[in-house]
Amino acid sequence: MNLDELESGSLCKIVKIHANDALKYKLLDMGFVAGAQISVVREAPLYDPMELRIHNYLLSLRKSEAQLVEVERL
Amino acid sequence: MIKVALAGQPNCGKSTIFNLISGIKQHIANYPGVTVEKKSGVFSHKETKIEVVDLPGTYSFSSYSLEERVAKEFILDENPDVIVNIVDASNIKRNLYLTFQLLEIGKPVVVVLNMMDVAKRRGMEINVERIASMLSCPVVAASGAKGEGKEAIVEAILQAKNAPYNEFKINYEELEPTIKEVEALLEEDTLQVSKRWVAIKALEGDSVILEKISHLNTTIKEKRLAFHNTHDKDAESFLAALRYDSADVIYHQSVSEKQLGKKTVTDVADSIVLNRWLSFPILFLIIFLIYQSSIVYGYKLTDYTWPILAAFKNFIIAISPAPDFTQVPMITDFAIWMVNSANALLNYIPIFLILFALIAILEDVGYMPRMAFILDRIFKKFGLHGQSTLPLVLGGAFVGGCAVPGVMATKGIADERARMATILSVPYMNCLAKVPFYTLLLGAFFEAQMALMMFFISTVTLFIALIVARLLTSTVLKTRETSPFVMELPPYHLPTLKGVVFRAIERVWMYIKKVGTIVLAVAIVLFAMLELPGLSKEQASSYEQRSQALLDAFYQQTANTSYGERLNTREHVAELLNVYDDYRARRMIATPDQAEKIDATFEANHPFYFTFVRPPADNAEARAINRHLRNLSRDRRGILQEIKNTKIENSLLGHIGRSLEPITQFAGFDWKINVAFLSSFAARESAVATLGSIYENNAADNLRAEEAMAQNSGYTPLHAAAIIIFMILTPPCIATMIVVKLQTGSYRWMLFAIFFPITLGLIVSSVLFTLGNQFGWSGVEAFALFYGLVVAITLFVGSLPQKRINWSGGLVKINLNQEEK
Amino acid sequence: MKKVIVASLLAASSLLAHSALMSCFDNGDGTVTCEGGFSDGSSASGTNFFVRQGGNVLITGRMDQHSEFTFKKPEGAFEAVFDAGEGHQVVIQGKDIAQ
Repeated sequence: MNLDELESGSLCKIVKIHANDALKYKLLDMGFVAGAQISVVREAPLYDPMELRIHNYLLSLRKSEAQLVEVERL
Repeated sequence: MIKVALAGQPNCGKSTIFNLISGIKQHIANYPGVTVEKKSGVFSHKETKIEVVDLPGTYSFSSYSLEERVAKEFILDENPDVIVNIVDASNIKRNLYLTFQLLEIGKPVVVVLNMMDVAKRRGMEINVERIASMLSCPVVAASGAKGEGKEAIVEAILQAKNAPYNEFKINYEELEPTIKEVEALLEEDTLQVSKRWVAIKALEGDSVILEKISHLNTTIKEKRLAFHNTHDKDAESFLAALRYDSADVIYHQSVSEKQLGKKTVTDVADSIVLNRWLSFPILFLIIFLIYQSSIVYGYKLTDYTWPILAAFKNFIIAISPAPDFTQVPMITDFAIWMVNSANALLNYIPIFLILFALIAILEDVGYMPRMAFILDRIFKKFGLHGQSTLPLVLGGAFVGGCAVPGVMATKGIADERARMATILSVPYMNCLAKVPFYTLLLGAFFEAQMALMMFFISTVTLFIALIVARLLTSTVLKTRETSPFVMELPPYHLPTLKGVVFRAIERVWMYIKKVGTIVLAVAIVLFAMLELPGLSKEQASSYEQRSQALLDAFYQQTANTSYGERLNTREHVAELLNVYDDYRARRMIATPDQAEKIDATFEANHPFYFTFVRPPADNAEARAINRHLRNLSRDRRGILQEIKNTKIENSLLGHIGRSLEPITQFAGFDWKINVAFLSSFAARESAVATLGSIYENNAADNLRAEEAMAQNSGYTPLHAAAIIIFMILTPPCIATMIVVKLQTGSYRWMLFAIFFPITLGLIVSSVLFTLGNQFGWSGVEAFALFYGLVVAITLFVGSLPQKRINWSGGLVKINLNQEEK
Repeated sequence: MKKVIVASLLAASSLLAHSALMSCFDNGDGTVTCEGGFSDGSSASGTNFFVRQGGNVLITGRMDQHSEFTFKKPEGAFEAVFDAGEGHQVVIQGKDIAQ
């Protein structure tokens, strides 16, 4: 499944990134490597973007971008 | 001298450490050829000079963003002796991603574990020596916010310069053979960096490195492809994964977290601030409080600063050639005009100081990314970005701000398309300087509904900015590069006094510089355009005749007194009037004790004239002369006013104003309004002075400026509504346009930013005025209609689907319905 | 709530127009003249002025075409108030008005 489908409070593990170029490198830099754990903290008040906790820090990601991250629920 | 490069990820407290070690003497420039800021400082320690250059904060050391390219080029071209890497101690894993890349370069690296106090508070125990041994480089613990660690850091720098470089290597497993192959291909000594690093970067596809070894590009490409085919993974992902794995290892071996899973202050705060129902009210409340405090308290402060500015003006008048009754030397006129222009702007400094300080606090605390997080969805619909929040707020979200720092603040927006859209829409926000103009017109034509109208005006600007942003991103900015919205939400922390004060002063200084340079330069030009060619011979002699008549009348009145003989020449009377005016001007701004001193000084310096300026109670003659003097002064002011208006009519600007009338008449503007707008391009504040004085008349009536305007101008409230709307849409001052040019890097955009709003404003006010006349709308009705229309368009535009996302790798047609939950 | 916002917006906006100024003189013949003005040079003629003593308003009027107002000096302590609207008031104590 894709990251944007997860609801607040869920925990998952990254399987693969389907993005290319700019988004891919940005995600890699921020630690979105295969096997990394992500917990979904909340959605923004207007439901987009989403706030994630990864490698012990907080990050915000638009759902359109999260859609390109394939994850496995934990 | 030791050259040090300071590198680190955003939000790691790099600036605080920079301030800590390099003191106050900082030099800010730009990296060559780009709009990226370069901060450097020089200091001495143990007789060694150390130059520190603050590289832009980057999450990684690749070459995908301008900042990364600039940082990398600096390292390759300027060859620093030591790299100091600032690491956020409470976020070691992600920070190490950058550290590894820096260590691989081949230059001595000193790692500074910053924010140790925060880590400690979160129950983290960090084994600094362990990290040092695993990284093979010195690691210093510090807390920039608390000012701890300076000595240790500087010592480490000195030692690192002379110590041998310990090679740091991550075993990249499957990629290793390819790395060795590429290393072998690299010539000796092309760059003073590690060959291994160059090889790794080349295999990553780093554009800056590939440029430097362009002859090997095809070979590298082949090797990358080969790796991808063999291992079903591209080199970049592979490297990233291994780096994070290594970071994980180091983390687990050197950090023990006692309070893992416990809610931090940040978590608790966020649960309130980002709560679905509380977030917007809190947001509005914060913005409201910021404006309320800065305007109310700032205004109280102007009670103290205005006398200083006024005293300066009096000083300038004193050293200028004295007026000879109604003949005022042009130099004096010029000096007064310049001082007035400058003072009007400088008077706002207390307000801006407080405003910028409060905003700096908000930035330091870490609330800005939360604002971006909350508003991104809305902003995105209009082509803007969550990070557009700060520029828009600075430009004037509620009552009024200044577009100059607003546009400058767009520097940080990563998304190029949104950045351009923000730059071009911030000028539509509430310019503080336009407010006196609104107040004048509202007081004259809309007194009953003043509060409502002011509310309309303050809020309509945001909608307009949004519409313009969307319009631009769908048309002229369509093909600009956008970027993904991957944004860190740093933990909250207390702002440092030094940081806040620095930032506030920096922004206020920017504002003052604009006064000192651009405004004054434009003011000079405008003076010429408003004064020349001046009075015609007939006009001049007619005024002179009237002046003479006034003088003659005065002579007659004083002839029969015992003072008559010393008051019967033009020089005497002119001097008397000047003393009188000077006295009154100084008394006006004096406190009670100062008043006594002023009286004493004037009495000492002008004993004779002072008798008529402050006639003693028992001297009937002096009292009589005092009354005549006051009338003379008033009449003279009247003539001066008329002269001024005639000059404006004759002037270059007046001619331009008149020649524009055929166009502007549809909006109800006559040449006087045109002149007021044109002449206030230097500073919008002066629109009031120009307009107010054009309609002020010298008749013996009791009217306030607003009343005078209402009566004498011949305008109706509908006119006023059209004028106000035009003022709302018209660009703020020239200084803003200069800053637009600076941020966009092109004159083309600057001209666009000038002419597009003016044209738009003219069209809108013309349509409204013409239709208003046709249908007999009142001013308020016309304005309400305008407002309603703007809001409707905003809502409509906001509901349109977004069509293009322009970052490569994301050329996806977004269908918003999919995202709605 | 809206009233609060609107009122403060209005106050803020009018505050920014200009600072109000006033100076007063004791004419020595039992009258006091107060002259009003604004920091941006605009005329104060027509603006409200009043004299207040212990909470009571003794005299009211408007600044004349000279931007002045002359009144009989009251007995005891008093305040001269140049009233240009919300936030634009200049108050001068009677005891501070010099001859």
